Amino acid sequence: MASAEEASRPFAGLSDVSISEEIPVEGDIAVPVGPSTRDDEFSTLDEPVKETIVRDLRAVGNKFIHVLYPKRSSALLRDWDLWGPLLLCVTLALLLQGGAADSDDQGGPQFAEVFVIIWFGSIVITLNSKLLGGTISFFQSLCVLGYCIMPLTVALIVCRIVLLSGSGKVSFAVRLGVVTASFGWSTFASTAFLADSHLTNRKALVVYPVFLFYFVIGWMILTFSPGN
Amino acid sequence: MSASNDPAATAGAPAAGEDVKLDLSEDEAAQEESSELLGGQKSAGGFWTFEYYQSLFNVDTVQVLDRVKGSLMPLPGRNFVKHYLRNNPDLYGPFWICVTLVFSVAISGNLSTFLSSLGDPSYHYRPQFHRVTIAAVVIFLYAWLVPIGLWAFLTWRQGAERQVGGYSFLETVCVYGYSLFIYIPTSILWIISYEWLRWTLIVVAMVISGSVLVLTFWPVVRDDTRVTAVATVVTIVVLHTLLAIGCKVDELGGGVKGSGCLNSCVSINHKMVQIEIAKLNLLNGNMPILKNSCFFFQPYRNGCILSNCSGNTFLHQMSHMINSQMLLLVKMTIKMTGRDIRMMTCLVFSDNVQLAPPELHSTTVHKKLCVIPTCRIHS
Repeated sequence: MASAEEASRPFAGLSDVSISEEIPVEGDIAVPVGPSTRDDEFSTLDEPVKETIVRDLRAVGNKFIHVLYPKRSSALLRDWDLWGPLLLCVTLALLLQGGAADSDDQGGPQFAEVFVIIWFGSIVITLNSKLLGGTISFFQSLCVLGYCIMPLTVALIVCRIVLLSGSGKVSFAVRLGVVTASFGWSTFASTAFLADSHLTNRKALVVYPVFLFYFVIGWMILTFSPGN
Repeated sequence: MSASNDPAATAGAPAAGEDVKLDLSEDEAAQEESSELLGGQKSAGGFWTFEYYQSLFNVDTVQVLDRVKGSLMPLPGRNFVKHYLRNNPDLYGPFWICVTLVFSVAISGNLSTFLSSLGDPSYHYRPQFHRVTIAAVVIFLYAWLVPIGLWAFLTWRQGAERQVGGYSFLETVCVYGYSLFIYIPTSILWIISYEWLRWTLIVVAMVISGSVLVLTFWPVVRDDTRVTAVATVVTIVVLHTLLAIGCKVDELGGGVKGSGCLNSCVSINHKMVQIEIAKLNLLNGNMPILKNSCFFFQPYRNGCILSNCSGNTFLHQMSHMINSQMLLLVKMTIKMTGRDIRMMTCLVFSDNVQLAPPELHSTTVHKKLCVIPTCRIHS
């Protein structure tokens, strides 16, 4: 019976254990004092506005440089921000206006269409990679996809300059080369950042939507024709 | 008495362990059985949780490629659902195949319009972005509404029977999604503008895609009455055909556009003007203008059509059509009514061109084809 009782109360025996009072217990308790003298560095409320803006601009510029030379760094992932993508998206959508047939139904994409394609496309690709089991967070992925549009924006600027000098076969060949090169660069840059070690079996499944996304944007840039 | 009532409690401490072990293994066996009965549906939560959708994307690259290959080569013995899906339907394939198909239809339609008017310096390239919107709506509606309808119909027909042969909703969507894959290379190959090639391609695509669907759904449907079975299969095939034809029509819907230049505009007296149109390009996508189209030239000035002018048009010389798209050298004399005309613009009408962009519809019976730019009248 005693053993049955003991078995039913597994920790029954421990209540009798007590620490003997002859064993001294000593030590130090130190409360780490916060950096009260360095409060100013953590509170950005009092700094001049110029400093705030310049700091953000520097962060955005830093990320642009990382896109130009894509190597596996965590700058884009760790401090994500969406200023760069917004700037690039608005620039792209504005530059794709003023194309042929402003009043024509069969013209180029409207501002809203470009905007929707870029943002909605980025969101869908991010959801896709998360559903496939990726570990990148939502906004980090949006940040990477947005910043990697930069080569295509540069290509659009180059295309518009080339189109100023005429729209014959030579200019088409030049534009095709420029757009293809920048499309390849964008895809390569974004896969370098989005590469996930957890998804070795599904890498192609994650990369293909990114490829399609930049292909469609590249197509919109290539088919931009100047207004009359 | 108490000992025999409860076998677990009568066993003493040493025997309690064995009973516990047996219980556990029975539990595992019970779980496996129930999961097989449920058709292997391993949904990890309600449909409002993220994990549920994650379980729908549980495929590897190799599996997706395998399924795509299976949709390209339907063999009579292989049921797509049983052979390739194997209780693991995914939503990755259907969704991205639909998206790719939308863009490939829009882009290749645009390219074929561009290529058919190559070498024409007065043709201005139009990206025609509205195609993407239309194609997206049509294709996504087809890929999602038709499986819903078919699954609901099949489930209703199964009725009270055990759904041994029935497919789940996700499997139906999956089959339809993968069966659309053949249309992607078809739409890309449509850029080549030979009619016989296009018809061959579309027939081949319809046969392959339709047979994937038929082979998948026939085993489920054949247990039913003969009429229902045949009707179901025929409906599947007809809807698929409509989609294919819809894609073809959408590609050809380039609208009608044209351009030309008035070479000279000489006034004979203050009422009669002789105009000469050097070249008239009528571009209408890929449908040739019918050979015996009747063209009316109607001059107008300041945005209003001068009344009754077409009745006074005398065609002196009209060259033959070079190909289905170009007219050369139209010379005519037009008797003007009203005040002196200084500038002249010509509208070209035809009465049996079938595809005209909607913004050019006018209240007249004829469809306006193009506007020839204004020319100053020399006296």
